[in-house]
Amino acid sequence: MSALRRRVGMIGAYVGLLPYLGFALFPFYWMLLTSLRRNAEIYDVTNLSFLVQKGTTLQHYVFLLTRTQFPMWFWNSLVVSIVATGLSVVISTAAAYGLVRIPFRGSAAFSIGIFVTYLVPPTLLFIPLSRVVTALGLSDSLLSLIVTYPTFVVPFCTWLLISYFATIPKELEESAIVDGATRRQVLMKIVLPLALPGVVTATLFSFTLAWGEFIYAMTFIASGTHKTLTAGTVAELIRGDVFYWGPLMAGALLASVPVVIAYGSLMDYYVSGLVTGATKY
Amino acid sequence: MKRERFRHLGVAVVLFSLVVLVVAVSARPAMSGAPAGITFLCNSHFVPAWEQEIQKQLEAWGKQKGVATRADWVATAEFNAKLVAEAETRAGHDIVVIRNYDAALYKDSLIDMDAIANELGNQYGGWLPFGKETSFFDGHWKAIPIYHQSFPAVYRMDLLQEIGVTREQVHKMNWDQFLEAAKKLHAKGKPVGFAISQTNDSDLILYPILWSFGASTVDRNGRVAINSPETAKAIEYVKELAKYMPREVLGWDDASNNRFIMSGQGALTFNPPSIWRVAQKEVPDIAKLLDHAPVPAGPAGRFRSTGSYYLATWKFKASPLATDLIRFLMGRENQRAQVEASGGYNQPFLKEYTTFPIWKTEIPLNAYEPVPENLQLQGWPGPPEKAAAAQKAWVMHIIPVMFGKAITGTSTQDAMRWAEEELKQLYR
Amino acid sequence: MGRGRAEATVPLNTTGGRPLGRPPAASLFWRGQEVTGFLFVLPAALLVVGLVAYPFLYALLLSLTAKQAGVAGQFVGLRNFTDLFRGDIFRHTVRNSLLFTGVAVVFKTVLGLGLALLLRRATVGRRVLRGMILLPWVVPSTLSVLGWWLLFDPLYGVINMGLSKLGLITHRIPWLSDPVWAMAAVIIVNVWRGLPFFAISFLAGLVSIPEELYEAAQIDGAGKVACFSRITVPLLRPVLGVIILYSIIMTVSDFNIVYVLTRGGPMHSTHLFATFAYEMGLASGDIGKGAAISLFIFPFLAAVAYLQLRITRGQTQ
Repeated sequence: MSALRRRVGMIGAYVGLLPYLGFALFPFYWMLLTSLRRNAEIYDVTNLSFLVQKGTTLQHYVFLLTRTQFPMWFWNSLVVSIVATGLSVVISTAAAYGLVRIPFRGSAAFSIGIFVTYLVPPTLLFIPLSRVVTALGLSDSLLSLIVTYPTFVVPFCTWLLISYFATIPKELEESAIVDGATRRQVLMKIVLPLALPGVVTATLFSFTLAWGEFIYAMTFIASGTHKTLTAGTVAELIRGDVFYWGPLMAGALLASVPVVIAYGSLMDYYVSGLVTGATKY
Repeated sequence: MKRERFRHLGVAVVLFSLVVLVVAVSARPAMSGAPAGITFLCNSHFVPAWEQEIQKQLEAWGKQKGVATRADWVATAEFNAKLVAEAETRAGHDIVVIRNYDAALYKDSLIDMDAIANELGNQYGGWLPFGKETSFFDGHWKAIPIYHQSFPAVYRMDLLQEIGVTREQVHKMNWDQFLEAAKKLHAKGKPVGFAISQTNDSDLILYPILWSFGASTVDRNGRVAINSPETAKAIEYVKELAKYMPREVLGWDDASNNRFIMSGQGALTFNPPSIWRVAQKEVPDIAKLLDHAPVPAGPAGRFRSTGSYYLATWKFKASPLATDLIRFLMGRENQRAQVEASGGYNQPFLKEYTTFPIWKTEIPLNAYEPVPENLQLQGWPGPPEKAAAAQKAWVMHIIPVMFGKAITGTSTQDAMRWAEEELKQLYR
Repeated sequence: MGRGRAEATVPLNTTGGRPLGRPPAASLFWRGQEVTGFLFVLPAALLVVGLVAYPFLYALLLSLTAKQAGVAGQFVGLRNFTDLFRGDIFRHTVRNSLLFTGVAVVFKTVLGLGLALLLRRATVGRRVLRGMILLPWVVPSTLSVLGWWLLFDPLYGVINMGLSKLGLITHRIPWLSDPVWAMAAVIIVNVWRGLPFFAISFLAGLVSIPEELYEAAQIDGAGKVACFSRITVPLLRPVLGVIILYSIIMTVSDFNIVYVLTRGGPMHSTHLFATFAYEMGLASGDIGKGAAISLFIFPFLAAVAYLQLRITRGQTQ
């Protein structure tokens, strides 16, 4: 393709992307708008506009950060998501490596078992899981979430990492052994670095799921100071038939920041992690 | 170059693991479970000031007794799930605020409250009949009714004035007059509206409509009685009325009628005073024109329905402290403070408390409390043993769906038959 | 998944199939480590057994009882299931779930592919671009759907206002109060949320197709369409298979979107298995029935998974 054709093609691509971008971003624009509008304007139905008319205000953000326990919930969500993610990634990586490289009797059955578990939806497991959580003495603590979030993250990540590990040629490891490397050296120096994109993808994925989880967070935890973002925002800012739209939208936007940062900085790894992971069948 | 990239990634991994460790360790306090002391579970109240008042009272009591207290608030929509979880796992709060027919649903898991109930009843003029009907099961009081929030009409005095209906007339309306007013208001572009959808507000007005036409879901013996000429009349009425209401009422949620009135677009809806109170803050010009009135009367009488709240304790959490706290919260002074903190929103079950001044001094609340209509909960007139079924019928919004079907093209007969089938399954 | 299995099978018998010149140390390394392998897998195994398999079996048991919240339930066999089939809310739920999943996944696939193709070309500022595209997927759904609710609101909703300003509609669309439009609304929101995941995954797949294949095809005189259908699609089939399967699972068991937007209404026209199970089991306390409803998803998903595996495995062979 000539340089000119390539450039035209690229411009065409950007033009084609506009409707997609509009679709993806418009709700966020509206949420931003609402979070900056005064209440009088939010409730004024005669004058809907795409811009702020009656002056922007930061009152909703201030309300959210000072008069609700939003900062606490933010911290709780961070704690739960980070620790649950760390746990899930370690478990998945170990399991994936074990299943691909170190087969044992029953590992095939176990692979199928892992796959089957992500067919089981969270609403089904709700009551029995809360039983288990209470039996372990974890009721109303962040640990209840840290322990249960891996249940819906590990199956997918394990499967992703299995296909990822399968693409790393066994020969690489075997020739290292021949050269005298110990298993640990093989793992640290060869396997993990090559698998890093896949691990990054699994990490981001796990973090996203944990960050946005709602039902377990809502029912395993009751006390205000232990709530996570999703449960806390809904409980405090939606009271029966009274919605605090301004702070609600502000909260929704602020809740997006960590995930955006995470994806923003690790985007390339995320894509390459999916590349070899999903396509090399 | 590749090696450098890997090193850079390796460093990132190490840092990440460190972060995980640090966060996990520093968050240890939040990892601990429920603390010692008395814990209190309630759904988020519409008026935050009431929650603060409760916190104050809990602390005051705690100081007296030298006991720590803690109140936890859960979103209303998810409150049922929380109760189910506590009942099932036999772990939870010392005092739970349960609603509507929960006392019937959980009667085997709640401790008896006869002593307190009789004590309070004797001291303060007796309980409202439906308070006992919804708390007394298997020969014992299972919960102490603390407050309810009923659904009168809330309307714009100026708009009704414009079509020639005075405030006095609004307070004495029947359904025929209501329909006439609705037609005129619709012509003016400021219609009446109430939810006919799968939301609580909807049940809370449609059941009174049914009752006022002499219809009901079940009869006194708990047999399904929805398929009747009275129900058909009620359905026909609502079908006609719906022509003059916005089509969107078929998809309204609990907050839609609030927005409807506050935007200035609506002339009348049915709701507790939350609309009025929020309007006073956000759109005071509209708030000045709002008033509450009784629900219109039908051939079989004038009815109002309500959402009711009770204090209860799980059997596995029984303690004299919890019982004492309940007694404390139900005392006269505390009740008055709670009512005022709620802005008159909370309505009491003890007859003496219904004379608190706030409902007289605030004119728009005159018709809110004391309740002039026949106040009933949705299972009426079914017997107490069928309370669980009544609650399920509410949660599944069978009645609003029945009306919704009739409005959107199903024949009245078919709609009634559908409701009958569904109710029969619940009232088995 | 089957592929992973194939890869994991290392011949334990090293005398047969051992390539010439391969020293014995390597194969010993792999063979003698069964216990290690088991240990690697152990944490995941414990997690699955303790927190998934046990609760699942317990839920299975619950679905065969008439258990209500807080009360011991008595065994009733399959009565919950027969009751569900007789009631028409459940039949609606099945139909809704199939419709919702089918339409949403088709849209996500088609639009996702288109978006991926575009993203592949748009290399300038691609990090920011891909980040923006991913936004709907990474933001917590219960909060972002609240934003959509405001957009669909009959009074304050800006979608209707925008459409009428553009002259595309004359009457307000009853987004959340009409059964058909409500289903459209939840599908739109689901597509909005899931599209980024599809697009980025397909993009990864596209990126891995070597340029040489396209260049060779062009030398042979193939046009754009032929390139697409003869090279791109076949090589993307494994990715397509995997992503579509995962999406079907996630979409059919979706809860947050319907719960926040419509609660299953109007008139049960948007109820999915998960929301109906919630209403039955957790909102009204009929735990036995709630469990029965949830269980319905399981065999359906298993069938879909099996089909997908057959198709994907067939293609690569």
